[in-house]
Amino acid sequence: MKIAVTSTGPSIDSPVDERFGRARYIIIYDTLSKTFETLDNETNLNMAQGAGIQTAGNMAEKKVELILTGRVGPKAAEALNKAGIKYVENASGTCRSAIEKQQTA
Amino acid sequence: MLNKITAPLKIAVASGKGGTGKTSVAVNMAAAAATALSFLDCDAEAPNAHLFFQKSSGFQADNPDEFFDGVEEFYVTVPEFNEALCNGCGFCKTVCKFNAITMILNKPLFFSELCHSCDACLKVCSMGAIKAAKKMTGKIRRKKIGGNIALTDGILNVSEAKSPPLIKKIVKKDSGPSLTIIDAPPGTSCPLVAAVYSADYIILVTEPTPFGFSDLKLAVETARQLKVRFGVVINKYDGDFGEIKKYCETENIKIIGIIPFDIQMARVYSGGGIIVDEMPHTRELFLKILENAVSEAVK
Amino acid sequence: MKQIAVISGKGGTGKTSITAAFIQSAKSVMAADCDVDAANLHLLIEPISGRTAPKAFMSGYDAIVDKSRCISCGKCIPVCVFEAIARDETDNKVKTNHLLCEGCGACVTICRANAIRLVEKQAGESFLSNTRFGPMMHAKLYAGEGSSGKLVSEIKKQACDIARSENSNFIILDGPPGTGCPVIATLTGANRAVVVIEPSVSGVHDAKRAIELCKHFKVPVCIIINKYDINLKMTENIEKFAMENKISVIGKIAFDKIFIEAMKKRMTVIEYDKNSAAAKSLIDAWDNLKKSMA
Repeated sequence: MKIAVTSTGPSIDSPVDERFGRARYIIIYDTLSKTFETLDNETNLNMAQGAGIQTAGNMAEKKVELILTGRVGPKAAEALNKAGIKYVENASGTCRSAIEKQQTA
Repeated sequence: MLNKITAPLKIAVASGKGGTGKTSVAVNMAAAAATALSFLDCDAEAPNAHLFFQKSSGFQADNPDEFFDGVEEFYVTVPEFNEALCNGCGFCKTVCKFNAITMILNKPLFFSELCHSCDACLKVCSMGAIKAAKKMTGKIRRKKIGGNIALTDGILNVSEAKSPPLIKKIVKKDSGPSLTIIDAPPGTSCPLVAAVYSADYIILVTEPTPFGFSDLKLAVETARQLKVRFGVVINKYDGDFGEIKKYCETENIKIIGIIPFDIQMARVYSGGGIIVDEMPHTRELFLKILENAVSEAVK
Repeated sequence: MKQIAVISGKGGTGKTSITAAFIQSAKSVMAADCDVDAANLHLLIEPISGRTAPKAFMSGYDAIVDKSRCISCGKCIPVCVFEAIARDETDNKVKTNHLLCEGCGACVTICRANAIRLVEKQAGESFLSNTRFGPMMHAKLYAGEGSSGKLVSEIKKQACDIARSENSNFIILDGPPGTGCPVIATLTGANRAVVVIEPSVSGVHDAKRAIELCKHFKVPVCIIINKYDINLKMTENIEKFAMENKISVIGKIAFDKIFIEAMKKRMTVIEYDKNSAAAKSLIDAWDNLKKSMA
């Protein structure tokens, strides 16, 4: 399964970015291969409006199944629900610790 | 002189700062005019003019809409997607500069609160999967006040973000054959532009305070951008703040009226009354402002 | 960290003077002026120095016609729902009006001659300043521009980042008048809205719309009645309305010229005369607000 974490930096050891749509980076971790991929979210970060829903669209395209982030806005939440992607809010610490915490939970 | 206006003439009343007395000036000018005119309340986020006309006509009811002769629903165009016809090409998403459309699992997902009703998506869909639908964002209300004033106001639905389409429609449809007074929204951005864009003259109402002065300068900048002629009315004047007069002089801006600070006027206003009716000696003052604006506009 | 938005519906009810007094009282605070059309907070809380260079606010696009390519077909004219395209009578080609253009790009899509393109435009600037009460975000939207809501969101985003990194107890927002997009942007994410009402027929009418908006966005509301003694009967009605709707009235402030006097000296009312009745009501209002959020 693919887990995405919003991140302030490009590495899996970067702190979690509390914002979803306007996160600086998104780390996508594959629980099967235990590898991660970094998505530069700068285009969405600088968007006038609708950053959340566009980021949600990208998550669907990447076949992400679970998102760990600080807070998901109502429009992004609607888009994620439509795409059948689950999300957990109030993630903190580094992306790695957030993923580990999620997996043990 | 107002009776001599035979062609459409639009006088807008605006100010950068809210609460300087735009609506007061507009309503009292209209009440003082004694000539047929159209009154457009374009402050669609907070329309107030009707409250004053309402009180003067003794109207009381729970539903303010009942005061009006007619209430028309106002709609904007939004796209409606037919998923069965959609081939998932995503061109609608690409073309939407407002990010109101995203593709989820190859199907468009639309967020009307982000939509600017530009129709671009409707025009690019080669599958005919998008058709124009309507969304009600406000109301246009009309009322004949006494023998002379044709009042129109726009009221945006609460939680709706964009007033300019509603304002544009009112200005376009309800401007009269002779004199029209437009009560504009505060600020200097798109709602104001929508209200005053086609005006012949703008009365900028300010007050002699640092806030009033600062916002007057912004309003002047905006009026100049729009290339509409304008003059200034200083409201609540207590002779205490010289900067506005000095500024107008150096900038070559005409002061077309000064309304003294008067606690009695403030009380009448607060009770929703029309000042020129309750304090008849003020009629001349408001009439003169309107006449000054008209003669500047036709110059 | 609590985010407080001060709004009113109607303009000129005293939002900014009240906000400034709250910012002074809050101590650990990040301030932001969300009235980007007609910003005034910086007149009371003057920036001492810029923390960072002014930031360009890029907002949407403008359609630009390359006349050497335009073939005068005029197809773009009816396509523009904003009526921003017209024929230039001097050469029969088309021209765009940047005051009306919303940058949707419908004309670009329809133009077979590739004569129209969209260019990103700067619609304002935002500033992060140091003030005598701490950091403040403020901005200037250029005259006649749209998208004030987006600029507000941008200011707020930065304000939140700073408040978080500096561990501020409060973010206090001076809101714009009305109920439209900049007000919605101001309310988004706020923990509390303070609606400033003046007891006038129009003040009450507009405040009720502002309260309805807060309810829609599920932001808890409280009320301050400013200039309450201008119309005691109406003040009574407001209090009754508040009671019926379970909204607390955190303060009642009498009409007082001290507000303008303080403004002329570029001070908050509390700084101008902390023993004045107005200053006392403002301090009480802040204490009530703080308690109600604890």
